[in-house]
Amino acid sequence: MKLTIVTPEKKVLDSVTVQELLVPGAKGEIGILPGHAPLVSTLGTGVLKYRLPKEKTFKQMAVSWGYCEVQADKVVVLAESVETKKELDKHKTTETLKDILKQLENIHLSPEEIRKLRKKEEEQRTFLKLLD
Amino acid sequence: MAGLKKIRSRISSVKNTEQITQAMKMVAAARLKKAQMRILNLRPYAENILSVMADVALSCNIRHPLLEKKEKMKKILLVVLTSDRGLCGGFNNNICRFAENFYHSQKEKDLGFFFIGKKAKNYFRFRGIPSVGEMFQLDREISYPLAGKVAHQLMNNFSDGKYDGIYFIYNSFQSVISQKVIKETFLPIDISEAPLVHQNQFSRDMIFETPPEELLEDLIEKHFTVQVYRCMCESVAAEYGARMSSMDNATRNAQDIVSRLTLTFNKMRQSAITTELIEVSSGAEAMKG
Repeated sequence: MKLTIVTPEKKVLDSVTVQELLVPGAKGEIGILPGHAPLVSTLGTGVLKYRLPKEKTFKQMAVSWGYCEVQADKVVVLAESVETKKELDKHKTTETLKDILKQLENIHLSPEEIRKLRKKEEEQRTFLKLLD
Repeated sequence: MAGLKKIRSRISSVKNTEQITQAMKMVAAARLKKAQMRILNLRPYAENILSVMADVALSCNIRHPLLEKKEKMKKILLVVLTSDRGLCGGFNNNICRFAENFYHSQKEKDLGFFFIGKKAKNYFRFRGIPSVGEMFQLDREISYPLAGKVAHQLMNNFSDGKYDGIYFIYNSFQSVISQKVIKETFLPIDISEAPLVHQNQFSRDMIFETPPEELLEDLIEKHFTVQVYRCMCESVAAEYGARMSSMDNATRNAQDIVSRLTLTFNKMRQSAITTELIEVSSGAEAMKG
């Protein structure tokens, strides 16, 4: 099963053969094994995991909004942004999260702003999950 | 000898200018490379989004307000992309003139302007044409999230019914030495020309984990953002291309001037020496006599 992951800023994976894939679907995690029926879904913010053939552990990365399409023998993931463990810094992420939570305590926020901040909060929490 | 001194100082000042233009050319060339990479990296994502969006819309027969052409386009928002700084040949002028001509040719319509880049803002402010929005420092801060913000704002305007159409006017990057001013309709989105990759598969046995309507809604938003981002990338790349070629020209002109001045300088120096020699030798002759 060939996996391709692209973002607007870079091509993360280009037709890499994988054995197993877990994507954070908008309504819960979806596990994909070779031979999966064709499927389309949007992805929420979460951790995407894939396992290369002959390997035991999963490789992980955090994605924000994305689109996933499963076809006969290939999977295409279009993600808004992709971060791997290497690109993240635990201290910085914790600080950003604190900052966001502080902003959320403000009572004068509009619903739109709250939604935006919540999304950011979720993103940072995903990063932390990835780092642990 | 006063003439000689003047020429010498001119030579050194032109040489200084040459060094500056040369440096600017190098900087532009380095940034151009980055900007070109950005366009290349974006391409696979943009193509995929477009084809999937068209697939979903056409095979599931969903209608969406952003995909529908309005019969009468009364109110149009023009987004004009220029640079913040000059010294890049006709880059800004071409685009401003194009936008102004378009403005005058569409007098009967209600046109609004959104300026990206200081040059367009200044040009139109001088002519008394107001703007509904502005954004600067594109070349430094260009990123996908930034494009997302702009796209979101524009899309809200469109959905609210403030505008019937959104056009982008920008310099498209043809090659390092050539840019072309282009007017593109961004909203409503025209999907009739989108390449359909797997239309048949889609209608048969695809599992939609997300309902197609919701999926399309998301895809349209992303597609629009990508288009805005692509436009920005092209404009930035074109700006650096234009700056690079105009600075190249300036460097070459400076070199020409220096070589011409050096020639005059040497001629004058020689004639001065000759005059002095004649004076000395004729003085010696006179002493002999």
